[in-house]
Amino acid sequence: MLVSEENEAWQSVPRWMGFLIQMGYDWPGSNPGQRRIALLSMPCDSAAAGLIALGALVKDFGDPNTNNVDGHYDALLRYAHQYLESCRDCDLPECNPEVKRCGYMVKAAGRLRSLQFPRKTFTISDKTDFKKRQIAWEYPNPAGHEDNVTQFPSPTKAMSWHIEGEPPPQLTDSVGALSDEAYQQIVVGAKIIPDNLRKSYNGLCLAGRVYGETATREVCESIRFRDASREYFLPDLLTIHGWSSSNLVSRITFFNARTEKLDRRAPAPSLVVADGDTCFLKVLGIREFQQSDVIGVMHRTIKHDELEAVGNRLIALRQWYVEDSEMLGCLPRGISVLILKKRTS
Amino acid sequence: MQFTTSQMFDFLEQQEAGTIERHEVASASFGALRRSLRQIVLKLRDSDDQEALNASDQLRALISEWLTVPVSFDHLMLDAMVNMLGSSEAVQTRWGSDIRILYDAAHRAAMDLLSIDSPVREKLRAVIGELRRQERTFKIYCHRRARPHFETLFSSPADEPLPVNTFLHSVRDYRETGLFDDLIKFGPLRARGWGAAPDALLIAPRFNILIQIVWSGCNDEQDFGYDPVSSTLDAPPAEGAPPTSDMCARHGPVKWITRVMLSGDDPGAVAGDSRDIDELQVFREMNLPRENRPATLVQVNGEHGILYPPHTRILSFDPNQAAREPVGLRIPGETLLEGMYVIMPSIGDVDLGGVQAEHGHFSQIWKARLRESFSADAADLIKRLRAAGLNLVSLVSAIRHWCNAPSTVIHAPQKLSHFKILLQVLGVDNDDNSRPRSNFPPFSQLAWNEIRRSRGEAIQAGFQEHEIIDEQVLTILSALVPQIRETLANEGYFLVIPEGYGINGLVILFKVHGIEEGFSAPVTDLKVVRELRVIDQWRG
Repeated sequence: MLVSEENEAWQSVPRWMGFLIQMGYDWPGSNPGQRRIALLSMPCDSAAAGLIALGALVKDFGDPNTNNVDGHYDALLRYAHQYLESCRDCDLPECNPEVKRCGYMVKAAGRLRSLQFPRKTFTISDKTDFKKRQIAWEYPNPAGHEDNVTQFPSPTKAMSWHIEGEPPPQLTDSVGALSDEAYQQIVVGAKIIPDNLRKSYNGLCLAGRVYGETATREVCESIRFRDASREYFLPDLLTIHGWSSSNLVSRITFFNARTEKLDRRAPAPSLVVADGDTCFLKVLGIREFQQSDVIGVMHRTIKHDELEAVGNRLIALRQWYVEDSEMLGCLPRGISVLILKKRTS
Repeated sequence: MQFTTSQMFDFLEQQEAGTIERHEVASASFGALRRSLRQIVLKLRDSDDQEALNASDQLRALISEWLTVPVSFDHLMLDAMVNMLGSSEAVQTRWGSDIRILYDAAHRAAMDLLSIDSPVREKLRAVIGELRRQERTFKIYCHRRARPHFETLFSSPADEPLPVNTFLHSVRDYRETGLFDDLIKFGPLRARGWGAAPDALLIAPRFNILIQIVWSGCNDEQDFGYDPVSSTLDAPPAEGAPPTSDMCARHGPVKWITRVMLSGDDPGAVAGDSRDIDELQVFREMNLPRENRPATLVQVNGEHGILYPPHTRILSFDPNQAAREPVGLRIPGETLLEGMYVIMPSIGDVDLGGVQAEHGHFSQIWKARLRESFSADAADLIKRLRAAGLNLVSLVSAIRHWCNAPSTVIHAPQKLSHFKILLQVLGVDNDDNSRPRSNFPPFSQLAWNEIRRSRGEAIQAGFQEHEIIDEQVLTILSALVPQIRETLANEGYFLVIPEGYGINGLVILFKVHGIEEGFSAPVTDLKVVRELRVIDQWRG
């Protein structure tokens, strides 16, 4: 596998990139009560966060439990409940959970999509029965009748429907599935379960720069991989929803550190990779991430006060965490890493 | 960013350690100048006189600039000092002979500098010339306002000027520049304040050699080059020791070898003062909150005394019949001597605004005179004001401001002392016919009261209150000298202020039995009568 950075000449994957990808790949699976927090400091601005996330993503391909399939029907029921009980009748002109004090994070528009019917929108129906755990949705009658068609899908059938604006939980077949070719070469010898290539996953999160999603995406776009047959842009490989039109499934959620919103309704991720010092500090303060492992990446060409803000946060963490650098090998010159593990006693 | 991350790592991989070439330059005259001024800064800093504190702050900034910017040795250095402090005589009058001695030494040193070139500028010229000769790419990191001082290094027609892109002024500039050979930094490496530079210079170098040119004694901040990650590791790398020749230190993940080169000589010009004291470090510590302050003891009997901050001007009485001004503000040990009396006012309701001047009544008088003098011969007025000790930097614009008619406030000098100088120079202090009664305070006091009222200041609040009360009591007591003598002759120790002076209360007279320096006491225990056995615990 070759790599090119900012359209420079193709070269073998350099040591610093290999280190970051491997670090993401080697990151231990989450262990309740053993939360880990790491911070890497880099000598310059870079796509380091994206590369660590890439390594972690490859690691998840090898775990049969890393998918959203099991909880999908429950997620649809929760979405339906929010829509019918709260959002549908909300009197605010614009969604604002803080003002409304509804307890939700984002609006539920009540709309579902299916890859089988790409031009149709399905709306959560009043006929949904939460006691019986039976979801119902409706769509315009194709025969032109006034009454909508209502469906009461089984959990299995509902697997082909997903919340509008979010990735589907899985593809029905391998058409549109991710290719394992690039991933196999990026982490040589990585175990990849083919089934995972057509399933989305919410357990890994990339938290973007505070300047907005575009800033993180742009820096990731500076890196391309190439094998004998084709080229791969880093944003495509990360499978973040909306970053690539060719990816139907998404195995990394994106947390927008500017708006402090996740790109989908998802439970707390196992691992959050935070891009930038400010993002790292923000992520540590987000309620939803309090149990998640966090790997922060920052560069050192920032103001002294900003360096100190990060240092003070790390010192505060040391009250409850101990250093855990066992997994670290030899660091490339210019990178420093601190890994903290929650104290058990 | 003009390079890729891979190029950055390649660059770091190529060198085992970066190199800091530290040129420490010494100069006897400059050393004498900075040491003298530093001592003045420290001495005035211990005062509770606002004017002294202001002078201390201004001098501190001046020295800091000289130590972090390659200024030329020219008349501007001397002028800056003289504009701040005034003449030698004025310095002695205001702050005593010890400050004057230091000031005179500084003045002499500044005069000496006029005849020599700055050795740090010579060193910079030589370093840059050599880099150019070797065709090395280099940058200069400095504050934007310091840039002209570098540009003038090559200002003669034969010189090749420094290109604009040679200069880096911010962490952003540094972040966005490409890789280069050498970085020139004048002054110590500091994260904040004068001469500040980004920590990235050491923890994220884009160059091979850091050429640092510093005045001798100016040390880098110990925590400069802070990497939050490396600093939080269990076994932080050893760092922080002052650089020695060929010392190797680690800053974050980057290693540096420091080579120190000394030049020039500074034998030390002020007795008892080390030549290696780092002014910038001293000034930084000055900003830290202090529990105790230096103080001078005025013993008022066998068992009691009063501690005063240094350079406090104490309201006092000189019983000597020959004394020209028996009541005055005196400095302990300088002009307040044994046998004199400390006067402590015990004032009830102070009626500083008791004079029934309408808003702007007195101001109309002095402002008219000011406008008249300013329009007749502005240069002459400014010259006379400066000679009298009104040394504001932008005096012209200040005068224009004071000429403005009263609005919601009366535009006037901020300090009473400046205001008095202004009135004295204008000649309106004692010739106002509108004074209603002869035993009333002088025009300057009345006009100042009017200004204060217009500013809405609380009469009984804060620091200025004491100065104002002392000033007003001084005025009153000056008219009561016979009564004071009579009181003392009858072995009395207090005097009730008669009615009609705008102040109700009395003054207590404490005879000075002795004066002793070298105490360090809590602020709350200054300027109050304490038992000597209590005071003894604060001996330095």
